[in-house]
Amino acid sequence: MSMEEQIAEILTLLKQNQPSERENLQQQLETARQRKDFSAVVSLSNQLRTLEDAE
Amino acid sequence: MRYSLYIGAASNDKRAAYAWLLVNHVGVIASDVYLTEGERRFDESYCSHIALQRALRKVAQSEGIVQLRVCMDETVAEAVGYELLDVGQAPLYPTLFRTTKRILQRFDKYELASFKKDEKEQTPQEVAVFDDAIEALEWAETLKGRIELIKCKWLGSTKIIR
Repeated sequence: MSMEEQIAEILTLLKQNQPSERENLQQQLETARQRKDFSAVVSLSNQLRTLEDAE
Repeated sequence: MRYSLYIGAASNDKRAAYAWLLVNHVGVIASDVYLTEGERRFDESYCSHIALQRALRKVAQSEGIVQLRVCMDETVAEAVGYELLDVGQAPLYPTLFRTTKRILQRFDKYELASFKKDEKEQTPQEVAVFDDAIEALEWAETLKGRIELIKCKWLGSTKIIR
């Protein structure tokens, strides 16, 4: 395997292990809920809905 | 037309009061206060849903196409706001929740927001809502208030949440 191929494979693996945008938003939403930050929950749930619509 | 509905609650050791204020670019369009009575007087979820539903029905009587911003204080937001946002919190009263959701569908567009009573930079509307609720609680302690409350209870007035 060439160096380029190895780098590409590592990058793919790294990308796969990264949480998706949706998971990130859901995590932030849960944190905002626990903090009882209603404005943040509104904003994040809107973002999540937009993302879901786009998907 | 764009409207903002401010709704908030205050309570003492006897009951709670829910006040709301409807404003547009011209000024205050309508306002009202409800006092809670009976076993569920301190049930924030139940009382918030009822107060919000009554307020929304009044708002729905406004002329033209209504685009509404519902600004809730932390008590109402905590009690019903998260449920209405559909962010995974199961409604405590599913029937009340569905009714509130249905009434919100009457408007062309609606958005939810919240405000905090203890914030330094409150808008006059936010202060007015809380002040109206406090005033109603104080009124309920007066002789006239007590007599009126008994009358309202007997007559099944919509000024009372029970």
